[in-house]
Amino acid sequence: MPTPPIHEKPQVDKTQKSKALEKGPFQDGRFHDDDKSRLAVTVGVSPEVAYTFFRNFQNLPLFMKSLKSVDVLSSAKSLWTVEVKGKTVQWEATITNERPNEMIAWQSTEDSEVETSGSIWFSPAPQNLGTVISLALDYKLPGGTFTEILTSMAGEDPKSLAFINLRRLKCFLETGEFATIEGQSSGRDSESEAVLKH
Amino acid sequence: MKALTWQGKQKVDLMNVPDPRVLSSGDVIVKVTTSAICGSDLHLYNGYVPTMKKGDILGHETMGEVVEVGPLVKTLKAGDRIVIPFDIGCGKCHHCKVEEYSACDNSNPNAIIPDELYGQSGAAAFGFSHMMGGYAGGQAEYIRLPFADTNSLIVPQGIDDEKVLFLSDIFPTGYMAAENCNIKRGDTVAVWGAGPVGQMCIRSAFLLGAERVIAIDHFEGRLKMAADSGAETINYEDADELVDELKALTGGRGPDSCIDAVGLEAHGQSITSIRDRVEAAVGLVTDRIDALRLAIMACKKGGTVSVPGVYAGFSDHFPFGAAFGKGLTFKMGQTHTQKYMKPLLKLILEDKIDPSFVITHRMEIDEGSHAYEIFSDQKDECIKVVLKMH
Repeated sequence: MPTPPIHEKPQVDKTQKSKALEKGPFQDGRFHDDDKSRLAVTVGVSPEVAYTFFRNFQNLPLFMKSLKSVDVLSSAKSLWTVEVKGKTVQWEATITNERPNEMIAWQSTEDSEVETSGSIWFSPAPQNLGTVISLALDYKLPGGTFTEILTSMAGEDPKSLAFINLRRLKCFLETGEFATIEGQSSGRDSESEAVLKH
Repeated sequence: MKALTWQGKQKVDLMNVPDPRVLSSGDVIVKVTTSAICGSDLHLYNGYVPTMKKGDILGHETMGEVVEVGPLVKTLKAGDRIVIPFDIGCGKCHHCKVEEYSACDNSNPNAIIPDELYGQSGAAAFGFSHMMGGYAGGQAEYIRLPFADTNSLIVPQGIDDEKVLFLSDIFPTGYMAAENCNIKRGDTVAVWGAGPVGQMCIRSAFLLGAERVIAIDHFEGRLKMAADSGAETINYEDADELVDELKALTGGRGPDSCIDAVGLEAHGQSITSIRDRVEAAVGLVTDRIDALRLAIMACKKGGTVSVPGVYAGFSDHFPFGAAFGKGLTFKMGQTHTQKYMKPLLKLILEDKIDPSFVITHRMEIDEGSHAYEIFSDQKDECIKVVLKMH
C-alpha cells in the first residue's frame, strides 16, 4: 500500500476532538503549558519504522510496563488492558487523528473508567540521527484510580512512567533487546548465603 | 557460585549465590578467570556512591571464558577468552556508533535516576550501584554480559590473564586521560594520585610524547613505582606548598596539563581539604575535591585539566575563578573503554607496555573481603589486587 503523503489534510473526528490534537507539540514547534507530560527522545531509526512499530498497537505491551494487551476493535478503536497485582483495569481509546509516519492522537472514550488523551509525533531528527519521537499526555484521575495504577506499575508518577516507556521503546527499536537486570542473581536471593569462613 | 557482595560501608562478604543465566538474547555468560579490585570499588566500599543495595555483586575489571551464548550474539562463541569493559554499551545508539560508549543511551535500565540527578544518563557499568544500572559485577565465578558483541574483546589464547586484564578499565582509563591532555612533544604532565589509574596515566603520557611526568602522592610505594616508570615524584606530605613546588619545577609556568587520578575521596592536607572532610562527614557535600583544586591552581595558563578520577555528586569551594582566569580546558568523564581496548591490546602484544607492572597482590576469591580491607587501608604497600576466580 502506498504511503499517504505526509502533509495530507488531517481527518479530524469532530465528535472526539482531542485537546492534545489541537495543540500537538510540533504544530507550533513547542509543547504547551497545560500538557501534563511532555517528553521527547531521539531514536536511530526512520520515522516510517518508528511510526509503523508504534501504530501496530499489539506491539505496545512489548515495551510498556504492565500493559497486558491492546485489542484492536476497529480502525479507530482499541481496548487497553493493564494488570497490576492481579487487578485488571481496561479502557477504550479512539484515535482522533493520525497522519501516517508523522503523528497519532488518541482519547479515551467518554464512558471509560480512565480519562486520558495524548498524541505522539514522529519527525526526522537533524544530523541523520533518526527520528524525534515526542509525546504529549493529558489525563484526569477520577477517584485516583489511574494514578494508583500508574504508580503501582512503575513505582513512579505518570510522567516518569512515560519516560521509562519511551526509553524502552528507543532501546528496543535500536537494539532489538531491552536493557534489563530482572532475574539476575544477587546476595539478596533467598537461596543466597554467606560462605562460612574457614 | 561464589561472589563478593557489598553489605554496607566497609563490609564485603563472600556469598554463595545462584549462577547467572542469559536474560536477553544478546547476552553471554562468562566463566570468570581473573578479576581485579579497582580504586573506584573503594568509593563503593567506603560508602561514597549512592544507590548501592545490600547483596549487590561487585567488580568491573573482569576477564574469562565464554560458556553460554544468547541467540542474537554474532561475534562470540563458547570457549572464546574475552576481556570485559567496565562500562556497558548497547553498540547501536548514536553515542556507541561514534565510540562514546560510556555515554550509551540504552544500557542503563535505571536511566531515570541519573536523568534526574545529572540531566542525562550515561552508560551502565558492572557492579557499580543501581543508578549505574545495577548490573551484577565480575568479582564472582560467573558473570552475565549484556550486549555481548559490543562489550567484549577477544584475546589470544596463551597470553597471560594479568597482561590483558587491565584492558577492562585502568589501562584505557589512564590512556584516555593522557589523550585528553592534548600532549604535545616536550610537554610536562602532572598526575595527582599514583594509584593504578595514575600509574597508567604516567606510562600513557610518555607513550603519547610527554617529556616529563610529575607524580604526586603520599604513599612511598606508589611513588617508587611511578619513578620506575620514569616520573619525577612529589610526596605532598613533604612539600610545604605543592603549587609552588610544581611551579618551581616548571620554570614558574606550571605543568602543561594536570591529571586528577584521585577523584572524590582526596586525602589532601590543605585547609580546604580538611574542611571538605568535615563537610562530607556531616553530609553537606558528597565529593572531596582537593586534588582537583590543586590541579586547577597549578596548571599552566591555557593548559588542560583532565579528570579520570570519579566524581558523583556536589563539590564545594571549587575554584572556578582560577579556571576561568587562566583559560583552562577541562576534559573528563567515564572512559569509552571499548574504543581503546583493541589498539591498546596491540601495544601490549607489541611489548610496548605490560600493564601487569601495577600488580602488588595476587589472591584467591575466598580472600576477597580481606583484599578490600588491605587495599582500602593501604596496608602492606598494596597498589593493585588481582583475584583468581577459578
